[in-house]
Amino acid sequence: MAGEKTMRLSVKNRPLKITHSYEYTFDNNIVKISLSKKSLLFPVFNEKENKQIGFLLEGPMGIIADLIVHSQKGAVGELFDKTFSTVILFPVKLPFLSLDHVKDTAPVENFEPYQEIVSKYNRVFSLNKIGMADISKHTLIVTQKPKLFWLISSDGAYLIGKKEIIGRKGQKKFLWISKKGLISVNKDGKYRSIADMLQIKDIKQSFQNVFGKPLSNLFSSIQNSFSKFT
Amino acid sequence: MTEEKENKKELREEIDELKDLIQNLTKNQANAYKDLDDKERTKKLESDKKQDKIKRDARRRIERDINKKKRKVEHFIHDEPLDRAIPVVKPVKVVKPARPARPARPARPVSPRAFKGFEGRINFESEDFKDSLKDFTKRVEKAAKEGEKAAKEITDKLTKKIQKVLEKENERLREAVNISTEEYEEIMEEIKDYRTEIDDAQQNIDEERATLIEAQREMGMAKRRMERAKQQGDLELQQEAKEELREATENLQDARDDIRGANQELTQAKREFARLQRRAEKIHEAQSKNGGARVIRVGDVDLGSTFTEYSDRVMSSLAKNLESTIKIAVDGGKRAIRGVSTKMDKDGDITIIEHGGAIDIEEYEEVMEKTADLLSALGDKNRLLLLKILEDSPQYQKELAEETGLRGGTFKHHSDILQEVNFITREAIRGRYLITQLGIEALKLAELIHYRKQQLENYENEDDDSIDIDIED
Repeated sequence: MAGEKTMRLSVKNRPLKITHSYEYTFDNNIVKISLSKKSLLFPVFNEKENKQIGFLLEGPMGIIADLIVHSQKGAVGELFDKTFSTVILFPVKLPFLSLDHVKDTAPVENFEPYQEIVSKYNRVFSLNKIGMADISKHTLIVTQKPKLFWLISSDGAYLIGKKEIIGRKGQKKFLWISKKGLISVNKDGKYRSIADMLQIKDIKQSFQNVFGKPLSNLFSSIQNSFSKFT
Repeated sequence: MTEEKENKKELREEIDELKDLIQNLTKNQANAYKDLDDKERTKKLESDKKQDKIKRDARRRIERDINKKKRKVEHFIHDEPLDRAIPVVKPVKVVKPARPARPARPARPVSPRAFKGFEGRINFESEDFKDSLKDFTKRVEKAAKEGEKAAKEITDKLTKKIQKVLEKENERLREAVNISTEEYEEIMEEIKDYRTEIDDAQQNIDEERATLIEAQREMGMAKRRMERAKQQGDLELQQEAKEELREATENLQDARDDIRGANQELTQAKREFARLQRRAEKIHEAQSKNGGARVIRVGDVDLGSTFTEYSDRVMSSLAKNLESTIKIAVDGGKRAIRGVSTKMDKDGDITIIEHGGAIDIEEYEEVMEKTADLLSALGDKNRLLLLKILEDSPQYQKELAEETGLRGGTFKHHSDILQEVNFITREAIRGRYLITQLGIEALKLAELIHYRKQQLENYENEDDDSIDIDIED
């Protein structure tokens, strides 16, 4: 991704507490998250600039995603429903967090594990230069077990794992890339698999059509970042 | 004189000196001999001493041996006298037993023709050997080529023979088929002819019946005229009436004869017709049994514009699913069940081909149980309707309920069944229903069966080549 920077992250022991359990459905109607009461939010800083760029959430967080679209061949994709214990959220201004949901709380005693989690990341996307239309409407969620990367935008959701990428944009566009193959569904519902797409050019074009970004930029940066997660 | 005396004296003195010398020499010699003798003597003494020592040792050894033997309660009698010197025997060094030599490899039998001059040792580097090896390899290559040629000739001959045999067989079958088709056609022609003949005979009979009735009526009239003439007493009239009556009876007799003849013709024609019909049926049966794959053509089924668009993909996957999940029992429930496979034709039709091979009943039952669950999901009009609606696009429950007329619990019942067999799925967030790939295939299967039934019904209603006869007795 353009504008990738190497930076060090740090987390400070100034937690916020979530006051009550609630669910939030994103505007895209594709992803819904659930947060539970008494979960803790620690601010995550960019050490160099000493600026908060996100949160570390400690507490169960459920992510439900309809990464499934209708194609000429029927339903394609996956219904995702998992709960994670620790996640990192970017940016600071999250649509599902407001003062109504949180309050200050005392610092925790055993803070080192949280520092360890955050210190593993030494590459961060520079969200300002990500090239997406409206940055403020994008949410990045990085889960721990398993390590997944969620990119949630106003009209789509993309799940990037170690071995596969699943993305849905709008009602109809879908893309799934893995070692086993590649499947795409375009806005007309046309289903294409790796057997149909024999040229790399077509694959790239399909990706660009779905994601709106060149494949090489996005994928290589994501791969580089994920190489640091292990 | 004196000189002679002096000479003589000198000579005597010399002689005396020599004599002295000789004496000395002999003395020396004697001394030397004496010394030598002394040495020898000492040597001898030493050797005597050694020998004595050896004797003593030997004596001791022998005594020891004797005592040992005595202790062993074995009588050991030393025959040799102890005085005699026992020769010194040097101890023999213990020699380790030599390893047994490996047996030599058996020599490969070599034909004497191959290696000329193979006698004794071969000098592998000699020119003769190299030449003989070259000759040998050349001969081997030549033999191999000849062998190949021979093999090729044999295979060619065999293939030609087999081809001829196959051609003959094919021709014979073709002829048999042709004969039976020709015969069948001939028989059908004859059947048609007999049909017309029967119709004609029937018509004849009707006509003859009419003439018979006419003749009977005339006879009745002639009889009445006769009676009237008798009553009137008119002889001429009676005569005329008599003649008329005679004519009428003759006509009646003729008509009866004609009818009898026509009936006989009719029965004969019917008999022939029945015989030809039976023959035609047999040929038809034989042809249908021996004629290879029985093709059940589905035909072009238009299930909407979407079918033609993805017909290849859906139908191929459908055919595969049919092959793996549906097996039709052919033998009326007997143990042996023939498998049925499907394959795609070039035109996109499905061809169902029967082939032999029995399968395990237990496996079959298991497969059928699962298949029954899948197919029972399709066994409801409302569920099929749901699938058809979802085929176009995902729908919310409200929209589906409006279109199908299903509400609340009924809708849930049907949607649960479809979800259980994975024909439909539901979004987690919006709650829309979507049809899965399996659901689409199941829907196509249902529609396929429906259209196939219609097609078969249309075939049955068609008029060609059917034998339809009304025979009145």
